[in-house]
Amino acid sequence: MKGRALWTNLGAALWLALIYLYVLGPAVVVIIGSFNTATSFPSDFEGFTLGWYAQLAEHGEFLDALFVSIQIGFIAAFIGSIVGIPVALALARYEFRLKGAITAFIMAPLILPQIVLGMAMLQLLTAVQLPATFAGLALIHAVFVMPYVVRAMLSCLAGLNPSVSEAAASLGANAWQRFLLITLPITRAGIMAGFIFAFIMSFINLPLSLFLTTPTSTTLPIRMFAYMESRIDPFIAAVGSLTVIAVIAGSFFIEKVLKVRLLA
Amino acid sequence: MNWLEVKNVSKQFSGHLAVDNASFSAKEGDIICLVGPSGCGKTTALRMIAGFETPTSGEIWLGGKEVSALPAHKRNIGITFQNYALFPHMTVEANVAFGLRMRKIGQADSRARVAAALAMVRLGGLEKRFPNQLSGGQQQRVALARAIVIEPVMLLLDEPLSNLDAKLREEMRVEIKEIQSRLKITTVFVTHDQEEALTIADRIAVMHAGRVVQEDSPVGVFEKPQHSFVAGFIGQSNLLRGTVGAETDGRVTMRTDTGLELRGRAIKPVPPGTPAIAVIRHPRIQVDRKGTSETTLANLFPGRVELINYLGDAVQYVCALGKTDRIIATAAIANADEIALAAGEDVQISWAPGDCLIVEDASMIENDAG
Repeated sequence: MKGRALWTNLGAALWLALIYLYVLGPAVVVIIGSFNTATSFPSDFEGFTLGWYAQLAEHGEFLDALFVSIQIGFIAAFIGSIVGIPVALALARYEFRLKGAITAFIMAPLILPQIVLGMAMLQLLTAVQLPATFAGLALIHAVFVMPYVVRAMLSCLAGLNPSVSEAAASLGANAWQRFLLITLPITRAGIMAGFIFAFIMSFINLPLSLFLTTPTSTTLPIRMFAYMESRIDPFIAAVGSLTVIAVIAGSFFIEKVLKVRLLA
Repeated sequence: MNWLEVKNVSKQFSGHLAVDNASFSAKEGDIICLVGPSGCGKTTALRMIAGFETPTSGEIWLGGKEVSALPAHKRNIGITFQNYALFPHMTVEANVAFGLRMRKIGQADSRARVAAALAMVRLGGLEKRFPNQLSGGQQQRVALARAIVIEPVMLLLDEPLSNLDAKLREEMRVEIKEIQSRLKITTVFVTHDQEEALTIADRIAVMHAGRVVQEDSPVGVFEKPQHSFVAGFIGQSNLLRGTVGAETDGRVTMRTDTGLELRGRAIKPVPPGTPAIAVIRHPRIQVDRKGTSETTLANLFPGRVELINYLGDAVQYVCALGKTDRIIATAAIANADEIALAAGEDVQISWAPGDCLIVEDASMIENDAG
């Protein structure tokens, strides 16, 4: 029995390793490539260099794009939280007619093809005679990331005892005090996780930005995409590696430090 | 005048009537128990008094004021929940001080009152702990301290003992009663445990399917059940279904569905032909070895011992009576040698007509809504 258990465990471990390789392998290839002295990517590893990372300082347009992405990520995550948190509270606390349909509607941006969403937004902005702007880009990102905020918040609220808020009411706390002093602190981890996740989803988004980008509001993924249309070299691998590492760090923080399960 | 007055209150939840025209009241300083099986509406009734639910109809009066429309945070009512509902992100001290903070009580005053409340529930020294570092019993004490520290006009306790183990439950029950009588605070105590209700309450409202079927003193609900549900729910009783026969010399006869002729007493007049239930408490049943019995009781039937349950200071005989009836008798014993009967033995089962309550069978009209 013991021997068989060992083989089962070994088999499971091997299977898991294969899955990890399949999922993370491409990222590893990019990261390794970013340290390669060869001038094209992908190519055989010729020698180690940090030069491609150093080149980042010379590419002002990438730093500008990074700055735009961070700004848009923050604004989108902020608006997404402002809208998404009350939505999650309502979904968690109340039973109402068409709850399933309304939930599906709120979550729709997750499954709608983003390229369609981006194009729709462009048409909308054109219809109301607004040029594609930074604000428009931030807004469409906010719509897209809001479901992630709702998700994180709902998973956190599932563990919240509804009596706790009622206990506060019986002790004299009005609705606003209950939210500020009880619900908010208890769900702090969910709120932070939702914000970070929303930021990440905005930060790495390409298709939504594609239609709405302007010379002054080019996001990092758009800048990378534009660069790669002309050439692919270890420099772009370096930029990509930094992005991947930042995203993994953010997700790790959410799962391990805030202990919020995002995709469960 | 009654301190709490619940008048004809109903609560409808999307098609389901959780509380159905319920009325009960409590005098100032009394404990009233809402008792009934789960789903009988007792917690919903409590939640309406607290202000968490609004009655669909009816009125709730508290200290001479109609409060049905008043939001929970303006009622000044202390409540504890079955799951304690402590604030997980606050220390014991901060939990208890929360209500005082909402009332803008000064630091020094607040600290003194929190200390006094914690002393009252015997939790001094645990001020800096967080709820997840406390046992269930300790959490319940914090919840109680948090509820009484605000000097509420009324205390509501929702199944305060049901999550505690048996020994702690007993201890906590005594303590709650002590604290309650020291503070002279009018209390509504919700429980599904009829024994708990009998021991702690000044008044008992027995609830069934959303209705208050009897409101009375503990002695009243135990000795004079006005409703067959109360008769079956309060105390350990044998229930036999049947039809009322003639009334002679103040005794009522009843023929059970299984064909037994019983004599008993009716608390409320029951006309002949009424479907009824005969209620006989377990300790009032006498079980004797066949032939040796000298009993002259009117209700005397042959039976057989099926099972003997040793309860320590008592013994329980589960007997078959006739073809399908089952009768449980308990007898106090000083030691195990007093268990005179053995399983499988033929016996005489008897009880006095005075111990046999005959109550109209209300379950023929309403179904057990659980």
